[in-house]
Amino acid sequence: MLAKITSFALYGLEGLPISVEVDVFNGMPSFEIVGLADTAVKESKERVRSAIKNSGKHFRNGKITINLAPADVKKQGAYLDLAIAVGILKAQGEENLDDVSDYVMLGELSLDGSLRGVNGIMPMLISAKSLGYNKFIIPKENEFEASYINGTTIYALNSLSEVVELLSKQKEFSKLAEKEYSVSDCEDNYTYDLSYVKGQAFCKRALEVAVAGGHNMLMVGPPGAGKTMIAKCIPTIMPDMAFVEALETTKIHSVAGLLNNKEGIITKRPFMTPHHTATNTALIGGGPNALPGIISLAHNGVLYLDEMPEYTRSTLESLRQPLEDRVITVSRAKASIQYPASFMLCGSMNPCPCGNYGMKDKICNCTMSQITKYKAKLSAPLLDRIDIQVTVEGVKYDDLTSESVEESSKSVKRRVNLARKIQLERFKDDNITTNAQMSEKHLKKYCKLNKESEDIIRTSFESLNLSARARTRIIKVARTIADLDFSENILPKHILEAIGYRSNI
Amino acid sequence: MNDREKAIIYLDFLTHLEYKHKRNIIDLYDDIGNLFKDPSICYDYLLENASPNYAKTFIDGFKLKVYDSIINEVENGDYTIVTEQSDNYPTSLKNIDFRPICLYCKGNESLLNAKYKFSIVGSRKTLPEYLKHCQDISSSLSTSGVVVITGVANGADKSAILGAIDSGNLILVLAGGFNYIDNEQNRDLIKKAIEKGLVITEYPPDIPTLAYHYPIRNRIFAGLSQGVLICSGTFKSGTKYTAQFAENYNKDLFCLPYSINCNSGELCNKLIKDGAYLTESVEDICQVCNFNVSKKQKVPLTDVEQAVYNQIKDGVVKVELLIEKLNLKVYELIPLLSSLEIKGYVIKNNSNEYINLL
Repeated sequence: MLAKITSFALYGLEGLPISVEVDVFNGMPSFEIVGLADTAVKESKERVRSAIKNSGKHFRNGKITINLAPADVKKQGAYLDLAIAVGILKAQGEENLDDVSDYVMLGELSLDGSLRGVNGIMPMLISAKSLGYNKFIIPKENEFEASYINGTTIYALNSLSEVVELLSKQKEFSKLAEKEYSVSDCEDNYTYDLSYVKGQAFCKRALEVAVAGGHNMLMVGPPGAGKTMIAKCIPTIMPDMAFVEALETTKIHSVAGLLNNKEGIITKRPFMTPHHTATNTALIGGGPNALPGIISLAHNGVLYLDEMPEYTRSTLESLRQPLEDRVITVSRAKASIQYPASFMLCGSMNPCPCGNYGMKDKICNCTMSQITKYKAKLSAPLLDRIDIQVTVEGVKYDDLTSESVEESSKSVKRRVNLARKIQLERFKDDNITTNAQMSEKHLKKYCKLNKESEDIIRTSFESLNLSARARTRIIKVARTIADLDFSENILPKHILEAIGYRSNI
Repeated sequence: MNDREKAIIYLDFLTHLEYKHKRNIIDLYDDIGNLFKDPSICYDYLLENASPNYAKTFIDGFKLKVYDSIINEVENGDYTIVTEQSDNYPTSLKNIDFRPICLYCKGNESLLNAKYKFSIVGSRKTLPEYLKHCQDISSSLSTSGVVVITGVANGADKSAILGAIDSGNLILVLAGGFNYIDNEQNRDLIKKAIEKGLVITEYPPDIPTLAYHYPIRNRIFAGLSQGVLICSGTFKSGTKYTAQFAENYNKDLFCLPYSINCNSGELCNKLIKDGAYLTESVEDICQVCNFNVSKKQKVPLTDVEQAVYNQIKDGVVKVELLIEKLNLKVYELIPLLSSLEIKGYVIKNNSNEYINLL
């Protein structure tokens, strides 16, 4: 007898419907899986056999053939186990499993018949829903991430026997309760807060401007100046994640298997800090199955590169294209997949290998060629994409213990949110969202300078020895400062402030 | 080109021959122009004092008339040569020990004999506020007709170039031949200096820039100019040779003062202790050297800017402290500070402090 069950396979961030066809007939006992299955899928026959027996069901010794259609798509992972097991039970005809064809089944089986969670449930459910499927059976472990998929009937079950009970209507199961995404989820659960950073008024303001306009930022300072702590505060002042953004980020984390089973959806903006020995593949994505890299995991969040010049040059250069396009296409032998990678880059570095160059009372032991080499790790095209570059100086002990009240992340975030709103309104026809993404065309349209402002820029180039590339950066940052000031036009004071956010690197 | 100049150029193109031998050979002849009539004096000298190889190279080249092709090359080259026998050899160099035999020049040669010449040198690692001072002094001097002489390294040299390049009163002294300009980090500035000012070197075009050339080259700074300003330097840096030469040649030595414990200025403070002129502004130089420098007019400040500037003058240099004292918000203060910076009143150093420049 033939049984047909629908399941899903993961292809990048998209789910692909897989029809699991099971045929059981008399003959020499055998168990074959066909349809371009990889090792994990082939091995499922051992799990399925044990799981069926250990659930107290009968496993008939017959000739079993399983076809995974469409046959030309490579199937990976263990999430087809449940569909195969249910298919066999139905094909054996011993259980009353009439309406199996209504359901999409996902889940890995344990030898004792219990259901284990799998990676990528959320993207598969989203794809399935958009294709018109609306009844699902998934492992209990994945219930949190699935509960954000609204308008569907989802059963999150513990074992194969429960699945059979549900399908044969022996027992009633309540469907998974839907959860509403609320922004309040993301509040107040950060470990860091800007108010913990003492002093550093200049740097904090630069950070506020950077986040408000989506500008990438580079902090230059001696070891122990507090660069990392400031960077860790970035997510706390970034605007709350909208549901769409949260879904996007969750999908990527789900595919990578990094989702926390408690929360189900990622409500905090991710803050990724790869170590400087990270390979290109780790950062960009790849591996035989073209999995997402760290920059995609940082999607809608922050990529913080501590000690930037310590990364290999090719790693840093590989960031240029995703910084520009905000997506990354990972191409490998078995797949070519586009992952979103829209992140804010925040880097930190020392002024020289020993860290004391240019500091007044400290002795730098580096030779000039060492310093030049160190700085040259950051190429000019990469630095061009970093609008705000500031120096950070270590705080004196007196400032650390002072009682002065520092502004909290919450109030900074309020201003950032308002500035972002202005930008969304301004760029609604332009297919960009922040000031940092403005091209030359947008600069002409939205950043008109009056004569006084032009004069300031010209004189500053002469007296401060700025490079020609600095002009665009200054104007973009000035636009954000004007937005924070609710000013429609860029005023001279905005230009002047923007000129302040540069370092001597 | 007369025979004397030709002879010296030929000698100088014997690139492996040491300077002292070239000097001695020139002194052996009553008139160096006779080298072509009577090469045997030179040949004997080389055989006796240098190695036989040199003597052979010299006489072989002589027989093959290599000098003709050298002279030809020089005459067709994009540079000119001022030899110590030339009329336009700078008088200030004539009286110093180890004066360069030839000066290879690109650019405005007449600057060599300008009336007022002043050297500004310093180390590569100079603090930003001192770079600014250096550039300001260089610019004030050069716009009032004093030719600024400096090197081509990053740091203090570069600031001196930036200050003087627009007026064209600038001489750069290289430590290698012209064919190696492209290897320099500041090649664009050098090329601009060739157009507007003058670039000189004592090395023939094919000699690369070598580390030991720098201290030797430094005598030209001291020799050419009336005075030398040392912007920065440690006890190890090559700047100390320039200071030594200036002392030996009886030139005025000026130094920017540094605060105690400041490593990058230890040489300056030591030189001041030993009698160099403490230099806070260009006026200090003018008084000693009798330069006539017109005072630069600063752009006037607004009331708020003046208030900020007064605080900085009183030693409040941190942004946090300025916010506290002036009761301003950080976003109100930063534009004011930038404006002060652009107008040339203060400069931000690498420690996020604003330093008074005047």
